[in-house]
Amino acid sequence: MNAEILPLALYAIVGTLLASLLALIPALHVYNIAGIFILFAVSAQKFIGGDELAMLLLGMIVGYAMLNTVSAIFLGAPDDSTIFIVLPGQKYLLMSRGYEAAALTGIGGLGGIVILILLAPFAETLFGTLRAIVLPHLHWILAVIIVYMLMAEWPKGGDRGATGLARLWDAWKGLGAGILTFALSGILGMVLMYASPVPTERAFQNLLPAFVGLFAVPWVMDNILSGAKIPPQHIAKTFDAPPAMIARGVFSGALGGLFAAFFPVVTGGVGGYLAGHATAQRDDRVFIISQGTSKFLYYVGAFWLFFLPAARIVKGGMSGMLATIYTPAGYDLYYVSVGLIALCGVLSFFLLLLYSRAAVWLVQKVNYRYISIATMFLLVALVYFFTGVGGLFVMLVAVPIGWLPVLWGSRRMNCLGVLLVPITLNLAGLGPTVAEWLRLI
Amino acid sequence: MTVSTHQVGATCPSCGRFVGPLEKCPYCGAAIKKRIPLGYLRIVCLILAVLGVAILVFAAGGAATPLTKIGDIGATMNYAYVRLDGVVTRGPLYDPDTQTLRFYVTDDTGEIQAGAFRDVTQALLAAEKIPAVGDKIMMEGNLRVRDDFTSFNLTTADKLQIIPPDARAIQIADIGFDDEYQYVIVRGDVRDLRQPFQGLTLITLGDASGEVDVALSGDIEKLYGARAPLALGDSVEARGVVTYFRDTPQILLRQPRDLQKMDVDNTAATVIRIGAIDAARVNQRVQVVAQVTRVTKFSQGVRVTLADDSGALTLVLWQDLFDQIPNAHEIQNGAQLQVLGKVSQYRGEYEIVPQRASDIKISAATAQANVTALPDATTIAQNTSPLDALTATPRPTREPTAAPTPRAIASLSAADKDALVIVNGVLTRVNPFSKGMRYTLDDTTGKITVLIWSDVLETLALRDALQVGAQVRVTGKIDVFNDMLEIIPANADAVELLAAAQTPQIETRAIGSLSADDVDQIVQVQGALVDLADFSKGKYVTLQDDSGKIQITVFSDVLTTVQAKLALGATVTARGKVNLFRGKLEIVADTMVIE
Amino acid sequence: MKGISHFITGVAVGTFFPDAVHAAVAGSFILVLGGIGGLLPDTLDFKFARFIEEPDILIDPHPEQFEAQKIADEIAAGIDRVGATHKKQILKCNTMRLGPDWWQQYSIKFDTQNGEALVQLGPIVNTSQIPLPESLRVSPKGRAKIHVPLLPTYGDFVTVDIFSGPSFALEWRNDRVEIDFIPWHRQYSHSFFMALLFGTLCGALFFWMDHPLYVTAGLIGAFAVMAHVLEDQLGYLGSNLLWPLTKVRSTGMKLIHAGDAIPNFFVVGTSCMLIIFNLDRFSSPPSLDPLLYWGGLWLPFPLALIYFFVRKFRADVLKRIPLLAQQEGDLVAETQEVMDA
Repeated sequence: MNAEILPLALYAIVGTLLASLLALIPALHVYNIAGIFILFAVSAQKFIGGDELAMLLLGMIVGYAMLNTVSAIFLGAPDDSTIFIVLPGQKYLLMSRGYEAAALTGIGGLGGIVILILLAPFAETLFGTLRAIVLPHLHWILAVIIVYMLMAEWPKGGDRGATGLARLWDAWKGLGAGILTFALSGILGMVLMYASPVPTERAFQNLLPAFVGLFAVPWVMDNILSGAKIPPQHIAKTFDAPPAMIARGVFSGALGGLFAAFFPVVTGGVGGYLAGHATAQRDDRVFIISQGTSKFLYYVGAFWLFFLPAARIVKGGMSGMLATIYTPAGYDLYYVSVGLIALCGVLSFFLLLLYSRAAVWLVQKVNYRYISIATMFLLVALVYFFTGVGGLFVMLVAVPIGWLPVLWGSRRMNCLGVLLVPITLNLAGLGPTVAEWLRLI
Repeated sequence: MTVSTHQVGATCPSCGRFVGPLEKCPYCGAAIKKRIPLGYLRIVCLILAVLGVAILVFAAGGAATPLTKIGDIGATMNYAYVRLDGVVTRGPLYDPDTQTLRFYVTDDTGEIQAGAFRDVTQALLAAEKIPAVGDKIMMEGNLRVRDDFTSFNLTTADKLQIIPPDARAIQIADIGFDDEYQYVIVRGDVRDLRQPFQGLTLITLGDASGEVDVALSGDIEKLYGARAPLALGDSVEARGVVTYFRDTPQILLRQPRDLQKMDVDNTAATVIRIGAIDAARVNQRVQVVAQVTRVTKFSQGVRVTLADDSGALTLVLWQDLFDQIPNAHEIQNGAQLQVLGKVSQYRGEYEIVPQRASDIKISAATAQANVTALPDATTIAQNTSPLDALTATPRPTREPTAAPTPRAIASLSAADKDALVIVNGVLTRVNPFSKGMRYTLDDTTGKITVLIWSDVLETLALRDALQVGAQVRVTGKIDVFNDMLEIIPANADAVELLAAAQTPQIETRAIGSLSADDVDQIVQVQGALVDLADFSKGKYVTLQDDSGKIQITVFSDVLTTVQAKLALGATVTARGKVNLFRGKLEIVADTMVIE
Repeated sequence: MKGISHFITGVAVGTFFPDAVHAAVAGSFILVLGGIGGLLPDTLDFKFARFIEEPDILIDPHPEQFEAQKIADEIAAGIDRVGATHKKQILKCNTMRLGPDWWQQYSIKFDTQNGEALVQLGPIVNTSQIPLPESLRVSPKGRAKIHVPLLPTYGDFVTVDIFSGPSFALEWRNDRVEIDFIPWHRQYSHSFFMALLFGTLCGALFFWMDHPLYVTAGLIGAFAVMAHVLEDQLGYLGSNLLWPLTKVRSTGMKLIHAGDAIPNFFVVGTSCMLIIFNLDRFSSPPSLDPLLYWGGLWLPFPLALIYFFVRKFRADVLKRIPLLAQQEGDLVAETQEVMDA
């Protein structure tokens, strides 16, 4: 067995190292690189077997889940799941504590590994039973999440105004922008599902231009336009997070991350947000740790569920892509995957500390605006490479939608309407009807 | 730190308070000049967002859905919304509980499973837009690509267009490979009716040129209702699509009403005079009415000379067929026979060869007039050679007794319910269930379930010997369960072992070593269970070893023995016959063991 | 209770109706009504009522020109005015924002024993209300005499720091001025009347849509609002249950605070387990073993709650915090949650 595990472990470590390089490039999502692998999968499978490819991707996703914090905090390029880290994370950055914030998310990620190991023997029963129960109910459960997201966005303005009506308008400007953001991104999602300008041969990256447009580009543009100056950073030797606080953060993050890993469409950010509410966490440090756990479990957990022998839950971009060319088999591989998650996770944590130091150096030496401009070029190139001119068009449409929350002070999570709306409607059997209303089909 | 040290961000130039992105100070009302007029940016962004989505919707709505070839579908097309054009090759498979409708579509590049779910299925049913084999269809929906299986989900009922094929009348013997998926009309009489398993009815139709099975799937009956009742000999017209089952053509009915009873009996083979049989009739099916002038036996059956006033010819009854004729002993000199069979020529003589026992009708009046009779057909089969029987000294007909009669399985029908009969045969399947065992007994004329309840089983000394391949004689009452015949022995003595099973030692083969040369061979493979998929009668189990993967078709009866252990990753040993189905090797499992 | 606790309780309430669960399997969104009803009372308060309230006395201090005495004088004058005119006054204290994440804190106190209004400057805090190091500066306190009798109320300082500041209703009752904290909250929106109204609306909507389950829809809506209202009774400040028959908010059962993590976690966890259990129970065939499910999997939740109560009552005995303070704490927690979210 050891002889069989060793090459798999090597592939996983290579994946982690590869992801660690990619994680430094702002806004480059691991799924894009995995996408390249899938594109060349047929040829790739000639020189590496299915299990090896799976472990390579496993290493990549573990590395990415841990290390994407670096670009998210220091280079301000969030994706759908790091968007929640950026707020408190950048807060820390502006307080010269970016390194500490990165390390706290890493601690959260390590907590996520512990949770996965503890859950491994029971996961099949737990998730298998749960899936059987909730499967016929997914549509309304997703609708419940949508309703909560929209209802639980509370006004941020409205304190000052001559009349009640003026205050109400001031308060509802942001809320209205949030609802509009959700609706527009939902319509965008419907277009992508039923009449996507992305070529059909690249359908697996259908959402890439939308995500880049909704999340990454507005943030980068904001950085370019605002010209924020990063204060000198302090490399802390200790972290202001007692064990009880870490436990609280990991616990909260685990609830959110596992929920997101298991439940269709729900991303790590949404899961973490719901879990944060459910466990009534307020402290920034707990929040950062919990988001570290949540996003780790979201990315890695979803991929890990793919290896569950009887359940074989295909959730998340990585498993979705891999499932098109590979089927995992057996408990041995499942437990090997758990072990390699732990190995690569620990390796990634140390890389995170190392890279955070490098990022501290980078943001002090290189103008933040230049990094943002370079990121912007990279994003456009990526979208073009994967999805062609049609994808660029989608990205251009998505950018102002993604910018609405930034400019109008609403939640950026509303952009997830791009996923939630079409999937919820489809699960309820209403997707085609709405697509017909929109004259998409 | 003092209060004057504001956090990084915008402050009002007039009152100095933090105003963030606001253009007008909420405290003192001063206008705040920004590097970028944020107010305008907000409005522009809002307009762009709404306009952008509107343009995208407009542009996307005007674009035609891309037409995709099935063979071009690859991993990167997962979830793509596409149009597929093709011909329905299998289905519809309908599950009323989950409201799922599935069918298979092929174009010139490949085949794909298409499915409709819940609302779409209901809409299709309401609109009577149910794809059937042979239909040309155009459909739009999403692709779902998996490592081992690619499928297509139909978006709406409106996005499915069906062009039914035009039917043409054809003689059964003329059906050839070129007719695959062609919509044809055949007329004939019902020669046989059987249900090989629940969910499939096979109706053998015969016309003057030959016979063909007409298949009606249970799913079609679920969708459209049950077919009209039929009896052997009924004249019918069947409209259906030609498909091939292991190189044998069959006609798949698209709807139960595609099988219509005809008012006039004009489909059976023509009754002709023997003298009219000439070389032109060879290989055709004819019907003659003639008198038996001679009965002789030969090594593989019985030859009967038939004569009418125009001539004579030989009726060839192969032994297995002869054994199935319930009143075969009445075939004797002077008996009047009506025989339907295929004309052949042997050493310059014309022969008529019937294919089934029901093709021979013996005029009882003539037979009964004769005091001597042939010995009981089954007795011949079991105790003596046919020759001995035929040459035996004629004895008076015995008085009928209540003793059970050994019967050919094919001769049993629902009308025999509660009759006590004896059947001989070979066990082909062994199935435990909660209250006993079910065995499938095959006597080459047909199959019947032998149901042995637990209490009988406990007293059955030869229980362990009842394995696949064992020859047994069973005495029991006939029962009908789920439209299938069962024979139920009342006690242990009612089951006799005639010959023990000879289990061939089959070596476990590497999956990758199987090839087309192994088709129809019994093989054994072992591997990890890597995929499971349901079909109406069981499961497709995919096994993988180091050398490759293969799909095992496991019918429900075999499945019940291993159901509880069936899990992905399990190590499975499967034994069964290799089959080549649409270019891919599969094994139809006889036995399956899960470690 | 936190918003998510109310929301998920509402959803759980809906799953007790088998016909609703069956309709949900068939594609209906009827169970979402439970969630909406669960969060509706707070939505009405925090998205509408709060902004419509017109303040009579507005405290809007400047962070760099903070004058505690002037604020105290204004508050005291307002209270005196209520005593003189017997007319209700609304006192609103605005916050001082210093940046995206910094706020200048100040506090006010109604000293009922000495008849004074006290104001003092606090530290700079972040949005998590954590003071920044060395941000507390020396500033004179404000102290102003109140000349009318005050109902003994919350005797400690009320902090004004993040997002929207608190408001107070100053009302003449029983020959003295009563101070009502955040008067726009938990009034009509948290009453039986609102449950009845929302239930009727849900039923009418489904009836209008020709949905056969309009009665169930009405019941889900009504029970979900009721669940919210009843959950709020567990705290220190109840609500105006019998609005419009009554005008004051009742006292709650004093068991928990709105922001307590463990009770919220208990409610969310138990509700989720109830939802899963009901979905399973009303499907065929059920797969969960009730004994294992409730006796094993659910066990950590009540254990955590017991731990919470043991700790809480020990602390309460030691601290002896007055009821009004507890009620205010309840409102602060709830207000801050919805601002912060």
